[in-house]
Amino acid sequence: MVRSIRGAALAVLAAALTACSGQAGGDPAPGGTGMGGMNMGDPDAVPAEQVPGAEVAGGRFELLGTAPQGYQGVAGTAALARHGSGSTVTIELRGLKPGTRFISHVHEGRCEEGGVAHYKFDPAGGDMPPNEIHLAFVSTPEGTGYMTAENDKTAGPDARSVVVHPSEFTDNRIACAPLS
Amino acid sequence: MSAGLRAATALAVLLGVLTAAAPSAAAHTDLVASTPQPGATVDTLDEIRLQLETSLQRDGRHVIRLLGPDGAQWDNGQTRAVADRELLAGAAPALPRQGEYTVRWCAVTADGHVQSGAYKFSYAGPTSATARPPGRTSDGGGCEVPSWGGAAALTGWLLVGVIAAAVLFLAASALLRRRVSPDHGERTGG
Ligand SMILES: [Cu+2]
Repeated sequence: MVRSIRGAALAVLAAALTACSGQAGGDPAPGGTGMGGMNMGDPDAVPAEQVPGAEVAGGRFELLGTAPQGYQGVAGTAALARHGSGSTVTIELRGLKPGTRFISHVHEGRCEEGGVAHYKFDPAGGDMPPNEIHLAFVSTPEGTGYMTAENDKTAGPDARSVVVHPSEFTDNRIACAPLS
Repeated sequence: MSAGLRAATALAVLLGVLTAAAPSAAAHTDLVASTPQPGATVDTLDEIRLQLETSLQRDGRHVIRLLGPDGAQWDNGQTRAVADRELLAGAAPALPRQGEYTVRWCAVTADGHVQSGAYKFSYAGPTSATARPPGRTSDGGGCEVPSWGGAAALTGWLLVGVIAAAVLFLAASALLRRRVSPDHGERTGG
């Protein structure tokens, strides 16, 4: 018993040290920042515009009044592909603060309304993927961001927009792109 | 309870917390409306009022922190639920400077869950060179506002906790081994 616990403690220590040394550089690696294996996007997935035989909808990101300072130059596109094996959402942004973590969600409201609440596949279900579509990414030193998220269900008509937030200030909505 | 077992328990608890906290740390908050609004520029700042999507615990330890561009605390330290889904905290009577202020908050919902969030807005109203942070807090303790780096930081702190627990356990079990003879040593844990 004690021996096995000690083994577990050693494993935790090793894992923790590995994780720490990975972050020691300060700059988080660009790409998916999903936690606990949750699907928060994969930068290497086939982007929405390139999914064969898909029905693609999307639009340009526009700055929202709820953005913090420093995002006046934000621009980019979002696209949602509905296809045989579900949904693919791809976002591409520029004019972001460099080296910063961001989180995006597919929202159910229109951009003119600020996006309102998150789009849920099952309205009675949870507020994390796979019941919602989230895209987590870190901006490059040039202030660009890119991410694709896949879901094995096909998004309904209520998936109307994509909203980007700074991960540290999730109540600030920076920009919104329509998905229709 | 032996030191080793105690450390092991602490480790297990921390691991549990880590597992439970990780997804919620990344979750979206359920702020419906607020004064000031996220990203807004305001000329007056008497209070911070947050309207949430979920019913709040009546006497929950809710927290709203108002942080200045300097990082100092400029709320009055007295957050309270003023309605079923509404939180209120006062601001200091005078503010030292204009600029971007941060609101960090956490709330305990009626079903016992902790919601938290943060946003920035800009203050462009009157300032006072003699303004001092209230520096007293009577709320807090029941839930924790995200203090730095949001979800990533939370994971970082939990990681530190787990490492500390692991080190503690290894030290304790090494001590135990030295003290207890081999015949009994491995059996004390049950
Ligand atoms: Cu969102």
